[in-house]
Amino acid sequence: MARGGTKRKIEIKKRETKEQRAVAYSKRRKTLFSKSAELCCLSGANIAVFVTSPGDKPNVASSFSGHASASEIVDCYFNGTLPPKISGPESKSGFWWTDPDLYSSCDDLSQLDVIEDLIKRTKKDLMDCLEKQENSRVCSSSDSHQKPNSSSSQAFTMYQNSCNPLDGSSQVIYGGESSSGQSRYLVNKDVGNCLWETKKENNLIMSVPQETEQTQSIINVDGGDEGQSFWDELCDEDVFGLNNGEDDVMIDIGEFLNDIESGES
Amino acid sequence: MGRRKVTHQLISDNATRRVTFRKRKHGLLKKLNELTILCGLRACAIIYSDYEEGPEVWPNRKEVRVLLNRFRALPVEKQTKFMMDQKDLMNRMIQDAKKRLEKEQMHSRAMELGLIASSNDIRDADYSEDLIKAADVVEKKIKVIRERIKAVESGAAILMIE
Repeated sequence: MARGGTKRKIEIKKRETKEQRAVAYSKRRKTLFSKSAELCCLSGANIAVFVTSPGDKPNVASSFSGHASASEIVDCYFNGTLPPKISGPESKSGFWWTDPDLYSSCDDLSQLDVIEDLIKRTKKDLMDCLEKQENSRVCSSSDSHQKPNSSSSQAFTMYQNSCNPLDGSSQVIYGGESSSGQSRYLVNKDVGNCLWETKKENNLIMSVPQETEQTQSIINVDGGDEGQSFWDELCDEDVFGLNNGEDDVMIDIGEFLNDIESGES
Repeated sequence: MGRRKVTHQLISDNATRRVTFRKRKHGLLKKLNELTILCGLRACAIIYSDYEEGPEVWPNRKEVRVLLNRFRALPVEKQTKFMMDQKDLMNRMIQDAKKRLEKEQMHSRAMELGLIASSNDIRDADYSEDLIKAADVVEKKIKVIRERIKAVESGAAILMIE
């Protein structure tokens, strides 16, 4: 935690003074509700939590509800009916942006801007993946002369040669997620002029020939993850039908950039 | 804090989802229990999940029924007055974060002023307003130091008697 020493064992019995109770109530109600939110979110359960307020006001209630409103859940409980099930990720047949409720639930312009931004980034990500796949196909044809541990200059020239035919479009890849202003990764048209340090060069170049040689993808295959982030899911989710049996050439650019950054700093 | 990364969306893997549900539900009910004891109030929870037919209730059916009847008996405004959902929670968290930010900004401002005050070449006329504030900061610090001196002196007095 940022400030050390905030975790102490507290005796679980009623707090003495009214103020202590009020303080405990406000703090704990907040954590309680946020934990219920997480539970709802992560497991798709439909939850309602009701809490009365301490002190002399027994008629004030706070409630928290997950996917349905609290009143709905109360009615369901009394009537013995089940509230609507939360649809799992497998059952979505369309894309998240085609969901009609998405737009009607936006209250103001900023939310629509956020959605627009997300969609733009999605598109950019996909275009990058597509280009990368094309590149790798070209690179793999000149693969036979490359060794993973070749000197940087040699690999560099080979990379340059093999990717030049794509008239500079290869350079755009490493400008990938420029929406967040990472323009330092935007390379000039003339690849030889880029001001990369040798270490960065090595990372990039070593990775490119290695991908095509290995049969495993560099996508997050981390089985320990509790769930995939939006971007990973996107790469996995064969949106444009790119991946028909060619999983080994789809690369997650996020990994790439992270490697570069950690290698640099 | 937190040993694992948590993505705030439905967990795709069924087995992990079930385990997470069980663990977090247990934790949630524990916290709810503590709240009722510490603050001496009444609370209940209803959980509908894929893992059980029908709702799971806490603490027991009778208490839930009693509380919910009372809830329903309240006028609608009172019912919805403190009804929160995830959006509201997020908004609250945002507001709390903003408040903390403001506080921190004030602190750093005060420190800045302290630095200005302690530097020796205060000649800039533009800073007049800041100088006043800096003077305030310095005065407050003087006060604190005086109190500390008093405390130490009285403490020292006690020591000498011993």
